[in-house]
Amino acid sequence: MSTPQGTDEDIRSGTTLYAVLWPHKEAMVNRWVGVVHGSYPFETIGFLRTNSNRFANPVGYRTEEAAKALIEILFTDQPEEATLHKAVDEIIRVRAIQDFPPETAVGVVFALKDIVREVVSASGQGAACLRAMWALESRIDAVALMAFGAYARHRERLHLLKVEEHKRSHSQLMRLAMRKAGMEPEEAEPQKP
Amino acid sequence: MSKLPKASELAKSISYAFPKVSWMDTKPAFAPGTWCYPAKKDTMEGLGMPNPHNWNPAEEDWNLPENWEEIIYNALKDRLEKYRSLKVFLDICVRCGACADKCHFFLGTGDPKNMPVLRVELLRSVYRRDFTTVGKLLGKVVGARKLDKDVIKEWFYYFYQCTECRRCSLFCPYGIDTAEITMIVRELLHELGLGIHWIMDPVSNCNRTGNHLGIQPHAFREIVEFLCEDIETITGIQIKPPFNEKGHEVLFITPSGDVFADPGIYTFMGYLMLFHEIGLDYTLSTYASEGGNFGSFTSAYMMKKLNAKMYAEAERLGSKWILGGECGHMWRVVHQYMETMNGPTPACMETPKSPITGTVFHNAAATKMVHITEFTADLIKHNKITLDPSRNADKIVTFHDSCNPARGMGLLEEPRYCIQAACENFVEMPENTIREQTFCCGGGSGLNTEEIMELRMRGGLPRGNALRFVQEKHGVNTMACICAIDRATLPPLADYWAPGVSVTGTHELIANALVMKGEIKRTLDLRQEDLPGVEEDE
Amino acid sequence: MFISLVAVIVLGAIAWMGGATPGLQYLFGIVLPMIAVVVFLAGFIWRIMDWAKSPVPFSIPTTGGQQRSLDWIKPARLDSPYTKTGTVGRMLLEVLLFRSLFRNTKAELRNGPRLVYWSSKWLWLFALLFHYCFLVVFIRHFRFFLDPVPVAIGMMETVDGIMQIGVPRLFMSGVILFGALLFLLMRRLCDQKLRYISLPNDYFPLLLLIGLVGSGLCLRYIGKADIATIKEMTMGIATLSPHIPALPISPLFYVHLGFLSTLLIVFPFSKLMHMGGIFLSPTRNLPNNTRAVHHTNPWNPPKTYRTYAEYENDFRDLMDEAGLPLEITPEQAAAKE
Repeated sequence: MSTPQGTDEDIRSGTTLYAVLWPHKEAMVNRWVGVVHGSYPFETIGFLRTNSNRFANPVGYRTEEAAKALIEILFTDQPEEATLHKAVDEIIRVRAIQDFPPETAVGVVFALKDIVREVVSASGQGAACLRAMWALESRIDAVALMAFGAYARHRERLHLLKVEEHKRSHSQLMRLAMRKAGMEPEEAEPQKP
Repeated sequence: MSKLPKASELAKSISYAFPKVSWMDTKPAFAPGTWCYPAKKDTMEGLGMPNPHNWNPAEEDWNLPENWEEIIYNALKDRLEKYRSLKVFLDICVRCGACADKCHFFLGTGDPKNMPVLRVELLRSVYRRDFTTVGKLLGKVVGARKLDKDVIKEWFYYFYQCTECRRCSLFCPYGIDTAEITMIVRELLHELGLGIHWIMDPVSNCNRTGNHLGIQPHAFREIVEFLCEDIETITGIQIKPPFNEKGHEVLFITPSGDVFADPGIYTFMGYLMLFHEIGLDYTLSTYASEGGNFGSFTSAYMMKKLNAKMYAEAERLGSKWILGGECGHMWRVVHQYMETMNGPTPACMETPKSPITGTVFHNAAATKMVHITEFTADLIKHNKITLDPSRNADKIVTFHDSCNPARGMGLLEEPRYCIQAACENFVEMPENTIREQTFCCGGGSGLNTEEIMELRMRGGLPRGNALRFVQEKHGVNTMACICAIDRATLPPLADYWAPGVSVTGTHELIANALVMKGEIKRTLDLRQEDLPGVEEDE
Repeated sequence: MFISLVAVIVLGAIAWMGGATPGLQYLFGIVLPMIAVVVFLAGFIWRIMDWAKSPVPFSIPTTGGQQRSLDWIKPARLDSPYTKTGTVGRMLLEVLLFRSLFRNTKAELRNGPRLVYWSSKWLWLFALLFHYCFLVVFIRHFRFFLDPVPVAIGMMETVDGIMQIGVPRLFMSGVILFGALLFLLMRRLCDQKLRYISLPNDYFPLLLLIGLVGSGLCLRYIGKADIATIKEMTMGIATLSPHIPALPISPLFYVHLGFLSTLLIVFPFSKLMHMGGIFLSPTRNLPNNTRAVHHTNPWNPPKTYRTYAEYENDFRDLMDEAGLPLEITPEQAAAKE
């Protein structure tokens, strides 16, 4: 209890924070979805907002799924890491290739802090929630790191795709060249397992 | 001093206001990864393309020829006189918006100019001003605008973000086909000497050597022989496919990607194994060794020029009919253009008849060219080949309809029939993402180049998303297709959006399952990986 | 949107003044409508001829279903027609039932979070309602141009007014037509992407039609215009002996007539020509039998391609070395030179 950062324990015991946030759960989900949509050029927003079919609007769908998972961390004792990881991964996978600068692609996670702070300060219970807020914000930071990891991973994958595509498209030419040079291609180039 | 950016500012940036700037006043930003590299001047010269010059999309000045406005005006006038489709499509759109969210590029990028209606409007606005009285008189009020250099750039940007997949055309109440418009706008751009490397280089190679990579005949043969060595390793059977030989009944033509590139080579091995097993009297040709036709992404003239080799070679070799391999745009060209452009067929050709089953392909009576899945489905139906689906038992397969066979031909059941005969587990992707409603791989119409990998991933999102869905729900680990461009573009797409799904041609699956006379006990699949059940046996 | 609204209001105002000014009644009540009809007919025919002048070089149907290939595979006879009959069927579905627009909804029914499914379905439904009601209203108006009124029109009116509300009896078609138009307008204004792609010339016909239908409804139900006098005037036009009746006619009728005339004049030069254009759309009106039947391109350029002979000349020695068959051996080629 004496650690200055706040702990999961604080969130658990921070019934005040829970009570403050709970009525706003859905509003916070929507707000965060709004932030993500807001990061797109504004001609796009309307479409993202009005259509939530999983196949007709994959971006909007993934955003909503991520928002739901993300909001859960505010309310659960032990956030389910696998679910969270998946939701973050799926949305960042899209944002990693969508022409955003890295800070915008990943930065949307931090917006959750502002959303929570707004709700808490409007409730006038800020002081009572302090320790729990610290803990919560650390959690959000952890999610942001998760998003950063996902971003890096997907960008790296993207570049690997180019390399692998190039190899695939010339596979038999390489083989021909290797054969002419008296080598078997397997010796020269490790195949993807 | 600039302010430190705050993450929280994002939260304040949401705007639900309607856009205030008209689309006519926004300009595309030529960010790296969104445009294809320009064609080389030499390549364009070699092909006799008009106004070849050096230019770079990222630079301000594209070095257009001096009279570029006149060139575009005349070219557009010429096309309007030649194509009723163009005229009608430019005139009758009511902007109902039914097409807007049907485009995979719009879904993946969110860029409003990727809505098919707006993509065509980029040309329509210029057409209105230059070719309609109302547009001349009323200008912007009726959506007309002056052609300027920015419009040319916009055309280049957005008409090379259309893969000519025709999904929008299916949903349009008037059948307005953006592919048709894209083909024509690309022709207009080519009149100014603006082309892309990834299309013009294969065109040039195909013209000279017969295939996209520019492989010369002797090397082509050598590579095919490698694949025959692999077949021998796997099956113990020696195959010596005939090349450029006269007097065979069938001329077989497939995209050259099947010979050079992974995983297309396994499909090619599949063809050879099948032909050997049924004793088909066929020959390959090094002269007409390319089924694909990047000319169709260039101009009607170039499409015809490259395609003409097929009938010319059939005539020289005295073939009765042509059997065509798995390819998407090749089949659009064959099905809807070939006989019109380069027919009537040479005198030696006859209505195709399967020598194995006796089935006559009346549906190919004029073109005299049969799709390999039509041919194979007929073989399977008549029990002429033995398939052992347990060899594919480790695969849970789904099928990606290529745009062109789906919406430019209607080839939907034949490949499914083949796959289901060769595999134990087959699952369809969601209904609005397959068959005639199929989503593009994101790399069709010559956009399968690596410098726009990001853009391709965006365009491929709807397909990847559907694939991911069946991967999670049904454990799909294999996506079959019938297109060489798919075999090149789907592996990265799957790798990014649904890692763990591998991509295969339909005839690779067939050949895995094909029980051949005189084969050794098979322990390897065509990729020389263990067949299912092999390890437990030993 | 704003420009179009102003334009429609101005047009309405001019027509009102024309109708209210005795000297101008002949101009607005007879000359203008007659000119409008001539412009419409001539313009329509000219547009169709102009389209028809350009050939259809390639047969490029968009196939919406299974092709006809092997006997045992069931083809989609209407969505991917192989025969002329099938193609006519496809066109009928398209023109009468808006087949392609209906596609929007099909798949979404199943996976469907609501919004996309509904909005797409609404477009199909209201487009269909609009077009059919317009047709009914159009046919009903023939009672003003035919004497005696054909039985068919009378029957149609009975059905149309079957709900038996009010005096004069409320015709459903007119009300639905008005509602459908309002929906189509609201859709353009509220759907963000639609608003982004809409041009003033998309709003103009909509607003004009709303004005036309609105003034018509007013004439019938609110102003209760004198039908007999109006018929005297319209019969005059129909029998080509036009005159302005002695009894006064509400200026609102001139507004109605003014909107109609504008619509007729604008029609051939606007997107409304989709009515004729759809019949000429090559992705719909051609059969998917392109491998079986020859299609002629009237401007088919001569074949120019790299011939086998040129190819062999370039690669002869390499091909010979690789043991590929040749037309002319290297020796023969050398002997020639």
